[in-house]
Amino acid sequence: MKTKLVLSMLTLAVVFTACKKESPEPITGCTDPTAINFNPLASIDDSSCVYDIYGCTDSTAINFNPLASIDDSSCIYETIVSGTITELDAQAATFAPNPPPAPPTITGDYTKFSFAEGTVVEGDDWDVAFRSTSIIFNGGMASDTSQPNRTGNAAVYIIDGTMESISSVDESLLLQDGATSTAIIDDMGIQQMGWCIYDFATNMISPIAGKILVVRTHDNKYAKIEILNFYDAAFSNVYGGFYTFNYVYQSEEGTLTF
Amino acid sequence: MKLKNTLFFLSILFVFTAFGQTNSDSISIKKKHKEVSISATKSSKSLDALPIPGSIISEKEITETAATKLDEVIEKQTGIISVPTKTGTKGVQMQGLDASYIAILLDGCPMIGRSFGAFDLNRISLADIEKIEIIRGASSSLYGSNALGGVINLISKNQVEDGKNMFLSMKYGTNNSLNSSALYQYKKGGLQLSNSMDYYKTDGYDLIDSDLLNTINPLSNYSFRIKIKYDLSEKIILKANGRYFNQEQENTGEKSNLLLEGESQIKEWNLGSSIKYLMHSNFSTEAEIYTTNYRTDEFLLNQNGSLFDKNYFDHTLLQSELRNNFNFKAINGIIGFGMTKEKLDRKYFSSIAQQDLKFLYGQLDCLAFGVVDIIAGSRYDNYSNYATEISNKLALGFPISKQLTINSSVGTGFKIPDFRQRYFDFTNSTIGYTVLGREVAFDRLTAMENDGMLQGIFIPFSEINSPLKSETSLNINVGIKFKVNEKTSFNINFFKNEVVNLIEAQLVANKTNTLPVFSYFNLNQVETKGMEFNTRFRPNSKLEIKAGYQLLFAFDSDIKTRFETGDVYAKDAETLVSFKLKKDDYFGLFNRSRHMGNLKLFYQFNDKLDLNTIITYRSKYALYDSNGNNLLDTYDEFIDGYALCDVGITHHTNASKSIQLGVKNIFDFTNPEYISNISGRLYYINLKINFKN
Repeated sequence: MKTKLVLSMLTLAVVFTACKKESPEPITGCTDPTAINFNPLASIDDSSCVYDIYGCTDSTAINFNPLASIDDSSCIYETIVSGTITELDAQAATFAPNPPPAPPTITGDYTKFSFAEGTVVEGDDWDVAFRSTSIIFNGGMASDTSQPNRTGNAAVYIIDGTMESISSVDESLLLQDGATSTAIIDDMGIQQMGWCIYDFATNMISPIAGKILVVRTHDNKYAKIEILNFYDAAFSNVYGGFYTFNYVYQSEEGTLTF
Repeated sequence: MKLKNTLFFLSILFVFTAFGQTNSDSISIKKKHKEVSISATKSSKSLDALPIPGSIISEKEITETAATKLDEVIEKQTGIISVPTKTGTKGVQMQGLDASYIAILLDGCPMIGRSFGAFDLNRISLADIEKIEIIRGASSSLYGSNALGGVINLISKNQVEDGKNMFLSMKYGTNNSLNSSALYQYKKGGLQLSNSMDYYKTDGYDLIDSDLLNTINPLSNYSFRIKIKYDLSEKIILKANGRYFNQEQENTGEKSNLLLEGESQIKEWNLGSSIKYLMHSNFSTEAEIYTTNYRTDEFLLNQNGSLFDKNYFDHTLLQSELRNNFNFKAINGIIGFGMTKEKLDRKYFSSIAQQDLKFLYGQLDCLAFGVVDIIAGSRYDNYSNYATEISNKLALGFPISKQLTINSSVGTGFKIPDFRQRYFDFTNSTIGYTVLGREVAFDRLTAMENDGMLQGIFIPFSEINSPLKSETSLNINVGIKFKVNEKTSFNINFFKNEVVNLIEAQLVANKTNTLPVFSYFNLNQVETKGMEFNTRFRPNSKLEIKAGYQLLFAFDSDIKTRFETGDVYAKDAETLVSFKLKKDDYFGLFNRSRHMGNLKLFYQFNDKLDLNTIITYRSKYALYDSNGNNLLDTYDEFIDGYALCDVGITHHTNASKSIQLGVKNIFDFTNPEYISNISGRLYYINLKINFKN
């Protein structure tokens, strides 16, 4: 106990003698006058300088820089839009099988879709239109009076692959609807030359696996579609006509990748 | 072809040179207790000594299982199933080849009447059948077209004892099914008479109550059969036989949710007669003439009674054949020739289709060097309006020891295009597409083109203006038969079938209304390979256990190549998004199970009572594509594998009376959506009486 007391007294003595007042310390801080936190009083730079960061300050851009303090007009906005359309109603108004050799009578309006709008549209700014198994595009010529007039420059081709693997457009393959036949052949799945297969046993239409439709829109942009289903969940029409599909739309004109 | 012929003639040469070194009477066929097959050689041969994969369904097995129709017993055999195909017709499958490649024979004579290639086995009553012989693998070298995949030959009972003999049986079971049959046999001196009749009726059944239609509509059928054999002298034997079959079944259809009713009828008759001259103990000759007709008529009426649809099918075959059997030292030989005339008249044919055939065949069966069993055969088919076909077979059996024999056989088979593939002229009534047989396609398409009815032509008509080629196969079997001891034996057979020039419909053109026109082409190539295993175990005189298993791989060669080059996609079952399939994702042909097996147990409690149990199993398979690529990959939806179990007991009241009680499909398995021919649990009672004097 005695020893401890002596030791603590000694320590106190050392502290009191050692801690006498010093001369004033130099101020540390940012010493760079170009920095936004320049400290004119600082004499020693403590690496705390913060500078203006040029970059995209718009949080909706894909290259938004949260650190940027000054917008340098470099913002890039997403031009690729992906979406899924569920059960787009393109049922034929009537679908009546005929005695051979006549094909079934199919009547009704086409349901028009715009990639830019991402929804069913009226008017002339449509890209693709559906009715029963027939898919037409807003370009070229109508092959049937029941089809809407073509007002744009749309074209299409069908290619084997997946939505991931088909990532660019081969413009040389594009084809427009013609006066006698459509670019995507509507064979009701019988010949499997279009997008679907008809099963003679079940009378069902199903999309062929690995068929991607590559589309030029009515205003010269590009999109791709994979059709997933031709019937609604409730199976309300045995002849189908409810399109469920995935699409990817490149809204920037001239860009061939998506 | 040249190589095959050379090989064949070399083997004949070999047979002739080999016999010189053998003991003359070393071949013993027809030991009483041994199973004897006649289908493989068109003469009797012990099954044990047969180097070709074959099996026999004995009368004992038919009796034990209370089977009265062919399909009840055939589907219990290893590697054989009787299944509904995609078109709804039911047929047998053997070594993975489907029903159109399996010849069905009744006492060696071909049965006709097929729907989309499938033969309805329910048509054949077993009332007077003694055994059923099954030859697996190409047998065209004896039986010509249709025997590409194998042969099922029904052999009727032969009276051995003098006097009268009468068998009566009556079977009644679930679905109000009744099957009664009578067989009368008589023998006195050189005269033998066999008369049988069979009556069957059932109420059918309905596996899906919610729809308008029955799964199987009520039907009734009857058949008569008469066989006469008369020994004119010790050397001359006359035979005649006749059969008549008639079936009536309710026919129903559905149109706009309304039930359409009608009737379908089948009438079939067969007539045959032969004369056999036993010229010498080493030589006999037999002339046979056989004719058969199969006709179906069906109709459906609208609700108001007017005719909705009517259909008919009328097929006739006439065959005459001269067979010469000889044996010389250790060689048994057969040389036969004959001709066949066939005609088919049916709806959707613009005229009656006809076909003439002349054929010549020869087969040698010998024991070379006293040990090696050799069968070498060849057949030449010359069609009046068709290319000629040559089919060969060579089979070798090497007995390694008394217990072990190694067998191998190589054979070629063919099937000429059927009448439908050649003369069909059909336009679908709901969708309007057209299917044209190859021989009418050119004229019809040219006419359509001239009338401006065609829009696009995808295959130049010049390619259609030549006849279809026959589908041909190469079949190889290698196997062993091993008799472990008196109680246990087994055999294993590895098989492979390569079938080329398979005939399929393909798009030729489309009409101005965009609807397609199809015709038939030699397109595909399939391969089936696998292993069959059978074993028999008799631990004591009371118990017998048999087990069988077949492993099968069946592929379309083109699809397999597509998988190997890697551009095959499928749609995910959940998201419906396409993805690329890997090389080993190809499952194979539709309606093929990789594994099939059976277990048969027979237990004899005492002289009066025995128990019989059969379990058959079939592993998963699929009838349709379910993920958007029109082929069967491992991601498709499969029909689950299933097992069926039948149990029956027989009480032998005395030597001439027996009563059987049994349950088929005891666990009441059904799959209403996909399997229409399994009706659920069936109880039956079967009474048999035999009068003799």
